[in-house]
Amino acid sequence: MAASFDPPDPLQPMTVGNVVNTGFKLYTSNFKPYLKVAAIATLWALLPWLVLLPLIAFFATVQDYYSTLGLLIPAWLVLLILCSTRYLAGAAAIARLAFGELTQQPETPQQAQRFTHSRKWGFLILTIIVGLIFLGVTLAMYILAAIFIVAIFAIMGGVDFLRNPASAALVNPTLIVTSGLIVLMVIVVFTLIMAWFSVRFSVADLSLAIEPGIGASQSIGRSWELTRKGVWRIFLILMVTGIITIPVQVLVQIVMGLVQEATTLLFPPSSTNFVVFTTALSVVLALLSGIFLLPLWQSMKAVIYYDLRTRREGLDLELRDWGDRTPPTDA
Amino acid sequence: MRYTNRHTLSTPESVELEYHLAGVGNRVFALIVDYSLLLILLLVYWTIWVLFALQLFNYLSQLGGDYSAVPIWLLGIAILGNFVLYSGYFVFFELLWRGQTPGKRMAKIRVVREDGRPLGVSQSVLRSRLRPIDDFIFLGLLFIVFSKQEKRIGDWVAGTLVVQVEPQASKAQLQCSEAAHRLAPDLPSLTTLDALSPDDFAILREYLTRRASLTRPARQDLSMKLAHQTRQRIQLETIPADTSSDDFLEAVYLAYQQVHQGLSWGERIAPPFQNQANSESERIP
Repeated sequence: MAASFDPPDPLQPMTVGNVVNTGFKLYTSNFKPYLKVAAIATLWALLPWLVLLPLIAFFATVQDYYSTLGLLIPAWLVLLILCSTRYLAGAAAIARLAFGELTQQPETPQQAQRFTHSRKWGFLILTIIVGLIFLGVTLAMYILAAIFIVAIFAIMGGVDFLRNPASAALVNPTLIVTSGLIVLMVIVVFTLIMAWFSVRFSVADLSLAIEPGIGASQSIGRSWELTRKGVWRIFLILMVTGIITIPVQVLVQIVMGLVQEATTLLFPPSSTNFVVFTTALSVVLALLSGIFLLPLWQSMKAVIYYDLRTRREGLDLELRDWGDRTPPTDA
Repeated sequence: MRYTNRHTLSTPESVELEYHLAGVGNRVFALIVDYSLLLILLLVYWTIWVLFALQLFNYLSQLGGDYSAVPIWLLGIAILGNFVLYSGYFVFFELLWRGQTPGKRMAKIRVVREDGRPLGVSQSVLRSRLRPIDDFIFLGLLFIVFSKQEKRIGDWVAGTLVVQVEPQASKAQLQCSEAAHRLAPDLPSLTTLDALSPDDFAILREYLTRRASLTRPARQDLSMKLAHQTRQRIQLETIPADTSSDDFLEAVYLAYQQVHQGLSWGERIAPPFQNQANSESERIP
């Protein structure tokens, strides 16, 4: 059994589980370099907030020099934007590294970062466009859901109920259960539609990080085109990955709980010190888990993108030129 | 880099068997499917049980008498049934389908004994009994990720492995065009078809099988690129007129298959085509 069969190593469309396996393998075997890029990117994202804290502390204690705010606020916003582009370029560099590994054209972290850094404004524009699209979709969904629920409410005799709330007994219990189920259904549909949109845009940053001569809006188009088929397959991949990350989150929760218990020994739970300490701790833990999980998600997205290019564009289909060498039989 | 872990075992006959282990992705995927099915099964079970119990209470209240012990008994039996369903689900399917459950079927994985034999009742029951421990704070997941043989506690105790199922090679014959069938018989004499390696042939077959799911521009580009590469590889000067790049690739596929399966050609239909190659538009650069 299985003696001559080599699942994802030769290039072929992969199953859901093998996409996750491959992404996970990329993550674990490149753990250190990816983690370093992720850590630096996350620190860039943190920088504006670190700058903000002393500023707030300063104005809170001095309560003067408010005129400088006119200068400080724009300066801080510029810093925020610059640091965000740094973060996005760093995250994209991890995905580029993972993709390079898959296509057997590996790069050093420096090379990958140089490339993604040169497109840092593209990543910012991409994030803003996708963010705006999501905002639009969410608003439209809320409005539709609201209209739908109001209509159902009206059909089920909700108006009578509003006129005379005391007559609750008049409302048929099956109607209440049915409307409850309908609201539940609306929530499920809402979630599925949001998931569908998330999948359709999920590899846009990969296109921008990898493909030559492409801008922010084209890469959104690329993601839309590549994910046209098999949306729920990709959704499943992301779901399986999400479940794999749960142990990390459980670990974070356990550490949080333990340290919080320990802190109560140092400070009384109602004191300011306690609040400050536990808040700082939760921020640090969130950052740490973010640093650990970012490379995993980026590797996974790189494999998804690679698999889509394979399925939809036959990226793997090329007669290989081995020259004088014989084809490698084993990796 | 290898993206799957492997497990090699030597049989008493000194034959080495290599298994591709399922990997955490396939196992979590299978678990999601199985637990979803199990959840539906249990929901149906409890709904039926509650309806049954309500009917029973109704009936008993008409009879009169003291039946105060009945609810606790009903609950007890229900919990027992719940337990049987939960552990029976995996054992039942694993024995029925030789180590597969519906989820494992979807993920194309299978449980086998460490020596490669199909698993028996005791292994399946042990795995199933230890499942709650493996599920507790995702212990099994951690064990799978951090052990070389990807074993959860249940696998250690039962002496089992979870491996990938060899995909069935598709037997379906490719649909090839008329033009390809006409061109194919001439290719062995006109070209050095031997220069095409089995790897190259596999790529051509992959393309021909998967072309329908490619995007249109990608398919056009790829067809031209592959035709160009193949033409160089088998040293064909020009591709005949009225032959699209897809037709040409199909013809090479057919010819290679015929030569390597040692089948006879039967009658040769088409004349040599080099003289016909006059249409520039159909030429592949």
